[in-house]
Order: sequence, then C-alpha cells, then structure tokens
Amino acid sequence: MGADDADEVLGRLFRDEYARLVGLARLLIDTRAEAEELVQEAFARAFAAWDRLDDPAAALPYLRTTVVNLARGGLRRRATARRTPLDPVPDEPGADRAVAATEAQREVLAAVRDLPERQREVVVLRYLLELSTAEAASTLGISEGSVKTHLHRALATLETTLEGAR
Amino acid sequence: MSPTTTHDGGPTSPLDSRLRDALRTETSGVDASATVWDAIRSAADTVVVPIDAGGRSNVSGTGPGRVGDRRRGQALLLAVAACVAVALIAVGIVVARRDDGRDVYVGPTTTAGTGTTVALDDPLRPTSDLGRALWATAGLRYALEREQLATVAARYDLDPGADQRLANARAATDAAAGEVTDQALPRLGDGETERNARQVLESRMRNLAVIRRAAGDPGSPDASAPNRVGGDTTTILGQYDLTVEAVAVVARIIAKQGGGAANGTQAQREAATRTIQAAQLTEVPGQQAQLFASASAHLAIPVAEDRVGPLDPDTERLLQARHDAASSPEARDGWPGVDPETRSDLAASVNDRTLQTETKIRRNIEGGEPAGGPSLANDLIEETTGRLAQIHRFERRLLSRL
Repeated sequence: MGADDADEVLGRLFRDEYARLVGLARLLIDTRAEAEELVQEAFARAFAAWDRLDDPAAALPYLRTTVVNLARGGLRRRATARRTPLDPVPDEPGADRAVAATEAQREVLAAVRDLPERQREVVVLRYLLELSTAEAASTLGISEGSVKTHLHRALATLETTLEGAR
Repeated sequence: MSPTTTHDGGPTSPLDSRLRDALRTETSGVDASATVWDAIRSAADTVVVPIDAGGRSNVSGTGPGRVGDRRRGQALLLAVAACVAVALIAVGIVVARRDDGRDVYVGPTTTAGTGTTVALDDPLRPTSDLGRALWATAGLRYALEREQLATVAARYDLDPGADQRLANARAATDAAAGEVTDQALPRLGDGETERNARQVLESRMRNLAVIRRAAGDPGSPDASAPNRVGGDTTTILGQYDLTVEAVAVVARIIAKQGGGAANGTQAQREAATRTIQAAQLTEVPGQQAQLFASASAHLAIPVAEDRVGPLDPDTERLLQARHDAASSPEARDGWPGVDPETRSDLAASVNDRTLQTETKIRRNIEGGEPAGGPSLANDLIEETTGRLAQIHRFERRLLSRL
C-alpha cells in the first residue's frame, strides 16, 4: 500500500471516525484536550505504520488499539502521580460538557468512569463504537470470553450504581 | 452486536439505551476539521530513523520497516535535525536570566556546567505585558520539562555530567518560576477561576521541593547508581507533569484575559508570522516552543477580541454556564472555563514520550544493556522527534488563526 492509499484511507477514517475515537479516548482518560491530542497521535502513528499494515481494512482496528494503548499509558502515569501524598491537581470536564449532557447522562458517564479500567474499555468499545465481541477482543488483545466476562460485570455494577442513584 | 441487542444477544434493555445515549454525548462538538487533518499529515511526515547496533542510520530500501524512497531525503534531514536536537538536550538547554535582566538561552553546557550564551534578540520577544506573561509561563513550562528529563538522566546516571545538569536545570526552573511570579501571576485577576489557578500553581511550586527531595540530591557522595534516587520514578515524573499542567492552565487563563489592549491587530499578526518563521529556522524544541509561545502571545489579543463582540445565544449560554460552573462550590478544580483547544496548544504534552523513554531506559538497565548505547540513542531520537511533531501540530493551529 502506498502513501496515496494512506492519504485516502486515513483521510476517510478521519472524517468518519475521528469524533467517535475522541469519544473513546475521552472516556478512558481525564480531559477532552488530551483525548483529541491522543487521537491525533494515533493517526500520525497510523501513517508511520502504514507500510506494515497488510490491508486498508486493518487501519481502523489499528487506530482503535493505538488509542486504547495510548490512553492506558497516560492514565497509569497520572494515577501513580496522584496516589502520592502531594496536593492533587484535579481535572474536571469543562462546563460545555455539562451543557451537552443531561443530568441523567452525566450520572451514567460518571458510573462508567468509576468502572475498573478493563471493564470501562469493554463498555465503551461495545456501546460507543458498537464493536462485536470479537472486534472488542481483538482491540484489547484479550479473549472473547474475557470480553463477555468484563462486560457482564460492568453492566451488573452499572445497574447497581445507577439504581442506587435514583 | 447490533445497537438493538444486548451483550448476550437479547433485546435492548433500558440500561443499554441509557449507556448509548450517554456515551454518545462524548462525541458531540468534536470537529474533524481540515486544520486538524493538515496538522496530522504534517506530523506524519516527521519520520523516526532508527539507528542500528553499529550506529548507522537505516534510511535505505523500501521494504517493511524501512523508510521509503519518497521520504528518504526528508528522513535524512530530519535525522540530522533530531540528532542536533538530542545533542543539545543531552548537554542541557536551560533558560536563565542575564544580569541585565534580558532572557537568554544558555546552552550547550559542558559536563562541568559551563555554557555558551545565545541571546534571543528583542524583535522576537514579546514587549506587551500579555506577551511577557505568556513568555514567562512558557519558560517555566519548558524549564520544568528540562528538569524532568534531567531527573531521569541523573537517576540512571546516563553520563558523567548528569548530576551537574540536574542542578543546572533546577536552578533554571527556579529562575523561570521567579519570572512567572513577576510577570504572569500579577495578570491573574481575583475571579474564582483565577484565584483557584493561582493557588493550584503556587501549591504545585511549593511541592516542587517535595518532588526534588523524592528525586534525591544529585552528587550526594553516598549515592550509587541506579538506585541512588529515592522514590518511584514514575511518580516523580508524574508530579512534574502535574506541575507543568498547572503552568499551562495559568497561561491559558492569561491568554483569555488578553483582550484589554487590542491595538494594531494586523501588526500583531505580522509579528506572529515572523515569529513562527523564526521558529521554523531553529532545530531546538525548547526554543521553538518559546517562539511559538511568543506567537501565541501576539495572537492572543485578536483571539480574545472575538470574545468581546456580539455572541449568538448558544455561545452566550455556554459562556454563562462556564461562568456559573466556575463560580459554583461544585467546581472542584476551578478550571471549567478552560477552552480545550487552547489548553491543548499550551499544554502540548510530552508525558507519554517521556514515560516511554523512561520505561525503555529502565528496561535497558534491567536487561543488562549498557545505558547510552544505540537503543538509548533511538529512544532519545524518538522522543525528540515526537516533541517536534507535537510542536509542529501546535504551529499549524497557530497558523490557522492568522
């Protein structure tokens, strides 16, 4: 696949999938700005890795996996830093997000963000990106059985959390 | 799974619908703009050139994992640029203040800590209060990042001058912090957001002493590499990140406040253009970033001017909501008014790159490979290239505002 293919395929994916990938990243890391930076980095890496992709159809899975992996790295770094006894610097979503989401939606988002990392990843891949079990498993590098297990536990937790919030 | 079935294939449950509706709100307002795409394409043209065990650049051939013909010349140029940048980083780029009060870049330093001063002349240096304030915050941010990298180098004893460079970097941070106190903090007002930002930054700067104690005292006679530095390295680096983040937020708030002295918009744009052009001529990431910060200072006034004019009802509502959120007791961080794009510009983070480099260095040491070999060189080139790519994206965003 040549550079022209990369422009065409990744350009189309940028138009069609950029918003959803930012949504994916946003649900995995702290801030919208970081999410956008992270997704842009994923696209830049996809260009760099283009020669190693066997098939244009592999580009989107590559982007998803890169976003998830980049989010994990950044999140771990922050989590470790914030476990120290130093004064934390909290980071909250901007008020534009508060305007865009209703109170009920904010409850759901908060509950999703409280899930353990792997469960949160599975929920976002299944419900935001609407991936199949196999696709989610491939993106996360785990078995389909693990995806089902994490999703089952996540939904049980969400049911309990959201029921308790009412 | 289709959107109308649950995870086990059954009919959609109320929870499924709630989840989908809520998660989709996180994609609202995301703009897949041509400007962003151009920035990605430009960043993608920045090629990482690996160095093999013999120290040779692998830039020939067109097979998988190699640099193609079309980019060969570009890759060679970038390799040279990256090596220059790495060399300058490796010997310590610091920002200091001369006796006459003008900022200079000091570098490269020798292992003994002495250096050559390179003055950055005034035509490129902001002269307005706003420009000086943004310049100061940019200087502190990069001084902190230099100190962060110097801490990694000292922890793993990457070369004989690591301790001295860490000491130099700490001194440079202190000097830059003094400039922020003089130039930037006075520009913060008394609003809720501004007070919180000031408190957060001051708190982080006080914590810097704690971070440094955790990182250890360079040159301590009883220290022995690589475990001479106390504390978890990832935690220490993360604390630097949080401090950099606080500086970036202060810069962002100051930039937003810059609408008061709007004069000569065209001249400011021309100055910004000249500054960006000057930045393109330098190979030093820290210096480039300083220049881009200067350009953003020139541009901040026109950007802020847009906020003063008539606003459509939706924007007015959004701004009011931001104001309300910033004023409410529930605003735990006090930063809800920070615009994501500008924050991203000012806080273009090297966090992931630094972590990756640190992890690789640690792996090299634990794996018995000598620190400072080809693998380390690759790591540093990769990190530097990443910085350049991020700065390039920042530049494209600035240019889009001209």
